[in-house]
Amino acid sequence: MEPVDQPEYVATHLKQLLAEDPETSEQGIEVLLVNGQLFLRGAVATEERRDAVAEFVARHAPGLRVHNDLVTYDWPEPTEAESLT
Amino acid sequence: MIRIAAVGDVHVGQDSCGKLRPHWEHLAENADAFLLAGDLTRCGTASEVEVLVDELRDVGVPVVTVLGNHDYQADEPDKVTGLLRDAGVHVLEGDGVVLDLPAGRLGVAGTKGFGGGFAGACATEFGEPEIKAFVRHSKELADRLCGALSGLDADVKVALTHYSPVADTLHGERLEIYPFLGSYLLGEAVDGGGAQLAVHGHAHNGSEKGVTAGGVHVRNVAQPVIRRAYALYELEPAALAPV
Repeated sequence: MEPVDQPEYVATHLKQLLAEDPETSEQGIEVLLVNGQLFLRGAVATEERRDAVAEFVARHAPGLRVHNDLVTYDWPEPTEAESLT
Repeated sequence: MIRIAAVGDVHVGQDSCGKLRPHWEHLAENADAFLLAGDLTRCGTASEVEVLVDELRDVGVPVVTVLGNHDYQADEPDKVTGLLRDAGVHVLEGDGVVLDLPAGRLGVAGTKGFGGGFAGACATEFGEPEIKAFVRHSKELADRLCGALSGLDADVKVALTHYSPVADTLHGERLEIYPFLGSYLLGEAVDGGGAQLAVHGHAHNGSEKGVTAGGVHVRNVAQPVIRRAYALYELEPAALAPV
């Protein structure tokens, strides 16, 4: 295996690309490459971005199966406040 | 009781139209002020800010924000700031604002802040120009925060930053990236400036609750951390007044 094909480098390059490419601009996504399969973990703001990230990764890592474990922000208003005094 | 709603890292984009406002439906009943801890947008473009401004319209309480690193990505932080201020949002960077609320005067001082790491494992202003510039920038922003906090004439003082002032609220993040998530200099500024609460974002995999060395409550309100539309905090001015 060429040094640049090492899983750590492939996953890290994808993570950097997700942050730096204007198509995605997602800095907080974890990318794991295990036994030739890619796992995406973290939270993104919308369903559209969740799908777009998986499609982007698949396009930049042809031949690798992508597991999209990203969650989306859809959290409710709070029901109580924390008292700090 | 002064009631504060706070959230960070909402990362508004063109696809966010109509998606945040429903989650802020009852905010004005629940809180007296709304603090945003940066990373308001995906990339800091004018069109993204316009979506956020639309979502914030008629939210019903004063809105105070700082920018985050994402809001600098398009290299137009001044334009982002200008659009938000035109919409009536208080945008802080090394300065503060005092809000006259029914329960008392809430003073908020803010800065995006920067990295550098925490006590025992921090960068120093030494070596190459690039690292010296990195550390100097962090020092300058923290110094301005301290000055802005000290200058607030308020019953309750809150420090609002994007980067974290403590390591506590980063638990869950990988240790190797702590220097990119905050700086102890911000913690010193929070303590030195007399804040009762520090609110920040940026660390999506961190923890909500922490405390500075001086005993000030710190809350990481990045939305993936709090897993709510916003966090709610209450502070009683009378309980904080010197005896």
